[in-house]
Amino acid sequence: MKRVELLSPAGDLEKLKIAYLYGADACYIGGKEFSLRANANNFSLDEIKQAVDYAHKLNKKLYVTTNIVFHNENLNGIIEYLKSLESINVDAIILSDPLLIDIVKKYTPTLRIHISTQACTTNGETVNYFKEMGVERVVLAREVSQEDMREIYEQTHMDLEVFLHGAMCTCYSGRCVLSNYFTNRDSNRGGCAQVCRFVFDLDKKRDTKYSIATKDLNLSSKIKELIETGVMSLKIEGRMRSTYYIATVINSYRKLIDAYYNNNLTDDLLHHEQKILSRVANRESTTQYFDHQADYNDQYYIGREEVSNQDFLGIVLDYDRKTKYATIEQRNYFESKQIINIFGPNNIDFDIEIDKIYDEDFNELNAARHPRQILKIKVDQELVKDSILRVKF
Amino acid sequence: MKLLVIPTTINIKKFENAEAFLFGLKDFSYTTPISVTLKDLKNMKQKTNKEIFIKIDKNIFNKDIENLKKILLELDSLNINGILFYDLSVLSLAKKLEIKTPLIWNQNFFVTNYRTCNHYEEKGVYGAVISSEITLQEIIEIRKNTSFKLFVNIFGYQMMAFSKRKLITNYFKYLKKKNYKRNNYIIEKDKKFLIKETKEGTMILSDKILNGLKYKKQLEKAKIDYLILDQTMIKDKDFKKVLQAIKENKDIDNIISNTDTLFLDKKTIYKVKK
Repeated sequence: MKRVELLSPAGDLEKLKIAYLYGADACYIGGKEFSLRANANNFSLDEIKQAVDYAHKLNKKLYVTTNIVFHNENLNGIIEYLKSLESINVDAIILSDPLLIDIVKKYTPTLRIHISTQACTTNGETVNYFKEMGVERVVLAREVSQEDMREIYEQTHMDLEVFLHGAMCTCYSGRCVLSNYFTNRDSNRGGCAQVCRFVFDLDKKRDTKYSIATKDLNLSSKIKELIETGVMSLKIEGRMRSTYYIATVINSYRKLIDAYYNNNLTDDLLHHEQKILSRVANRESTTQYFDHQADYNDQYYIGREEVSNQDFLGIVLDYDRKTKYATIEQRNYFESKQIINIFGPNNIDFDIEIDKIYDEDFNELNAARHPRQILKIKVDQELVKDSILRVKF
Repeated sequence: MKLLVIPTTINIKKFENAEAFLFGLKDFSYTTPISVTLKDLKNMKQKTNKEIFIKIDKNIFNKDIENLKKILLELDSLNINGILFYDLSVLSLAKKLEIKTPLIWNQNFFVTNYRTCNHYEEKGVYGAVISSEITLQEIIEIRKNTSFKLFVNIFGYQMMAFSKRKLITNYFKYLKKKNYKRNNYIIEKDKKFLIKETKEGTMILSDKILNGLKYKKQLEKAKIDYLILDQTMIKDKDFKKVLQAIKENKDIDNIISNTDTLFLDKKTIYKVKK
């Protein structure tokens, strides 16, 4: 039986490696051009090649977004770009403008095609329409319900991808140019200014400002139902998210998905991972359209009060098995005698009380104060590179 | 070049200067000021020689498909001039059902380049409604590179966004208020944007009325096929004057205020840092 794919965003090479290490089966990234996150760091062709090679060594996949809505001026260079992606052996491109289907057929026929959520596919008829054009996968709109997913799969037996976790758009994807009108930034070419998160007055001034912002999506409580709809890929949103966010979210969903397939998805495990997921988020979340028509409980009315998170304390750069000293790069303040949690690849997940903290020259410190400072801490349990230190909760 | 009006009434005799009219279809249209039934359409077709177009711009879910099939067959029997579509299931079904009525690609913000127009032309689509968020020069370039029938928005409030959410009802429920208007205004600094809620969701319109009439001659020279004028929120008497002014190539500044050329002469950006 083919298992569902856990698909992670990656804004740069570091995040990509973290995503795979922490359990993603595939990653999606954007290039410097043609991608809907035009202001993210994004990947040069050389970096895409490195990413592909890294993924394939781990027997995992890499998809590249080419999902802008093209203006005439954007047509320049697209054929050469797709040829480069084909030569690099990316596993698929994710597109929303169907002109690319013609270009792929003619110039880069081995490139696999995924249709982006930006195309706003909400029914099986459209999925079959794309299937007949040789498309390999369709990312369904975020407005489809569990029932829709199941029906569409049964109708098409197509490779379907749905969103699992992360930010939601207020409007149908592709059906919003608020950013264009409010800020002159083109939402369909990667310049979205997230106007849906602004606050306004509605007809008159009220104590509670008017908001159309949404809470995030979180389907951790629906893993079983989601997998059983027949969809083949579960997507985490967030190419602009932090390393810590990616590691935490991927790690949690990896555990939940594996537990489902191992028939030990318990309430305790679910509650534990849900607690972690809600801590790492900067917004509240709901199941959105999965199991109901989204209503006022799925939206935000408190303005742009997004809570920043200081749970991420440090990342392991190296571990010496003989001396048991871990070399850590600090990311937020912590101090000696503090009880923290360490989690990471290879099912690392335990709490420890920090004994002593040293700088690189083994001068003792009472606290880790400085951003990115390199530190030494003794940890009896073996660690691997890129394990993460976080607040215990 | 023909004038295609989106009226706020089915009494199209009021607008003699228009050659064509566009209506929403009951239960299948989101964004038109009125939606008609098949019976209305039949009656209209019997009484007029004007061109009649229908817009099906609803996001189609599986539960809508059977009704959509019936509707397409019925529309095809009415001999209307075209069906504007948003959802690709309309195109897919129209092909399967061998619908003869011309199909016009109307995916709002996606109609922005000539290659995609040509893609749909090869699929048997008749024409496209150009997005309102591209410049005049981009429109002219599209015209030069496609033989598609092209429809350009030239006057009226423009749709900026559509959500499946009930964005007004949800807000007032949060405030625990029962009496509220479903047509309302979002106010941001000195700008007011109409926000309109229906049973299908919520639409948000531009604060300014698009007025591209100063570019009419260039569009005509470029051989654009239809200019679209949307009457949404415009009074009959003012709209008639606008139509008359267009026919006579006159200015409309003394008829309608709060207008702007919007993106016809303003290019959008999308990269804000290097």
